[in-house]
Amino acid sequence: MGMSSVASTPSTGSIARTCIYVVLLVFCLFYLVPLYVMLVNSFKELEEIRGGGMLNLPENFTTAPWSSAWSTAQIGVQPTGLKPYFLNSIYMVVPAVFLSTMIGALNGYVLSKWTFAYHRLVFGLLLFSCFIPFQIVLIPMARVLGTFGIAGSTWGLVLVHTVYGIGFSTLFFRNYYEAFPTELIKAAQLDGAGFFQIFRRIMLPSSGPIIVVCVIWQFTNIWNDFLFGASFTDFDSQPITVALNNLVSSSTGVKEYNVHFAGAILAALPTLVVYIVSGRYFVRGLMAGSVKG
Amino acid sequence: MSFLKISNVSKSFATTQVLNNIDLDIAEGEFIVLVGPSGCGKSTLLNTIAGLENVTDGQIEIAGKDVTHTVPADRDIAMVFQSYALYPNMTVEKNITFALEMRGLSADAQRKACAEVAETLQISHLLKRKPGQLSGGQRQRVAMGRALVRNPQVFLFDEPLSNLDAKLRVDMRTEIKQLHAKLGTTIVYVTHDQIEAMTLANRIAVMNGGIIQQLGTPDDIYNHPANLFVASFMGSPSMNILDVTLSSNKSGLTVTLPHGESFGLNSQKIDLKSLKDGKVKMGIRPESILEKAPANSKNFAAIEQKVDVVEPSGSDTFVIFELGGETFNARFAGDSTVKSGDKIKFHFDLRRIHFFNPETGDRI
Ligand SMILES: Nc1ncnc2c1ncn2[C@@H]1O[C@H](COP(=O)(O)OP(=O)(O)OP(=O)(O)O)[C@@H](O)[C@H]1O
Ligand SMILES: [Mg+2]
Repeated sequence: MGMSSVASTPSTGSIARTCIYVVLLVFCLFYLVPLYVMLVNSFKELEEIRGGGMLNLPENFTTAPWSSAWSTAQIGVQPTGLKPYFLNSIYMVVPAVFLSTMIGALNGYVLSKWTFAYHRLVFGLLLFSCFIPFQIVLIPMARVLGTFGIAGSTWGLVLVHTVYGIGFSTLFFRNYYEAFPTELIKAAQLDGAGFFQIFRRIMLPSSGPIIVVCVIWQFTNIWNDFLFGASFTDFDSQPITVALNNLVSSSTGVKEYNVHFAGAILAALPTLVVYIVSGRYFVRGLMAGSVKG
Repeated sequence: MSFLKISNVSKSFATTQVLNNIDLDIAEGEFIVLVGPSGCGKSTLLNTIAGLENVTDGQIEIAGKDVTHTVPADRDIAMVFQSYALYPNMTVEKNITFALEMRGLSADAQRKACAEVAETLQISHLLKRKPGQLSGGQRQRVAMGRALVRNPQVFLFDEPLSNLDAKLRVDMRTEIKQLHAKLGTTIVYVTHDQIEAMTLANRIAVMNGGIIQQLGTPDDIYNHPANLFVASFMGSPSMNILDVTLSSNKSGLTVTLPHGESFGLNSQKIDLKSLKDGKVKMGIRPESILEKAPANSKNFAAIEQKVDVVEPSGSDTFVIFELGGETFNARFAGDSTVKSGDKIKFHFDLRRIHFFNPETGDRI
């Protein structure tokens, strides 16, 4: 009820306002509690966790679980910690995000400003690719990677994620460029600029907000992917999501919850950083395309 | 010798034909103004000249060279767009020199050319700004600068002044005219503003429905409109049109108005054979209907009618009355004392009456 009153009346009374804040606070807590639990328990010793009191602050503050998760925990055969897998993920996500964003921008540029017969059909098919469930392409993709000789490598994953990302990145850029004045392109053509010069000198410099949107989107999706990571890699090229799973579900010895918590936070950290650094551009970018047109 | 020659150019988008067999011969240094109602194909014609749209049929020559299939960059044409189309991410200076950079000029040469143009257009103090930090008038100047700096063979202007306020528009109009006198470059200029067309043009091309209705000097277009469309499109308020009947007798022609009143025309020679029962459309401009005429002049026909509305506009007074079921508009002097409801004599200047074929619309 508090929600609807804020939408319909510009100046809300103090009671309505209090209701809204209470509701928001409850939701906020609801989402933050798991993070809180992970955080406090990752700084506790295993004994203390076993003793219960999940919500208590650590009595004996220790960073040992973190260093263990990062560099010494047993994952698979070797006690390497998550570090090499974290790096694998970085090596995978950076080129994949860069490539899928650039290709999406180029596609959007062509599909909005250099249209050809059946360009709508091509765009439709690209959009369709956004809705193909991952599971369907597993086997064909494995064959393709095998044919290219990049099965079980980070580059194989880069290829898979780039191809899968093109649908969404094309959608983002096409809609953004659709509102971009065509006369600018005509002017540049008369000025003697070619296809790529226009793209690099006129389009890209004006694409800041949508690039941010696209990068956040791709980064989160690719970083968090588990299925492709588990299916198309061998032991040395696993991304962190797969490694985290191995860490948590390894059946030898006792369950080191504190190490698991630290590892999970480590695995989530990059996406958190990306959101915090560019989150406000994200919102701004989502708005920019719609308002400008 | 024509410099920009457009022969039989047609353009269709899918199934809609936008340009229909356009022929236009433009001499070097000529200032041509294209006018016509919205959607008649003016911008499309400019775009085909620039090479931004391919023609469906026909040929375009510039300076004796066939450029029909030449890319825009190689046609040596500069265009000023209605929206100005300034590159938002570049400074004014970069906007102006972008074309020079694309053509491989040295940084020094670019700076020099830019400084010169900025001087001419008085925008030197704006060079370091971005387009977003400029007023409409300043943007318009930058857009002009971007075209001028290239020193092209042909300028194309697509309603360059339509986003400016009235006063600035008049100033810029004068400046464009001076610029043309100084540079002597061929210009094709699209506008909706009749005064702009009349004052700037060497010749005006009136377009409608993808066809050039008439191409002629401003005087031609205004005083000898080729058809009903041109007659009623040019001039504001537009020409008064009325269905009348023409008949001939030994002293000349007689014009009979719908309600029976008639007057003679002794000077005009008109072949009535092509007309059905002598039925024609008569046109007369508001300024050719006078409040007072010289006494006993044979050149005027006095028609008595009741004044419906009087609209003073300072320099003129527009008097609206009804004749034969049509609303007529007469332009009287600003100090006229005519009031609505008055029954007065309107003096039609018979030397300035136009006749049009009611079927084809062509001038008789
Ligand atoms: N890319 C296109 N696809 C389909 N139809 C188009 C396209 N561009 C223009 N048209 C059509 O061609 C006709 C002429 O358009 P054009 O822009 O040349 O008109 P205009 O005379 O410049 O009008 P205005 O005075 O409003 O600028 C219009 O009916 C328009 O809808
Ligand atoms: Mg136009």
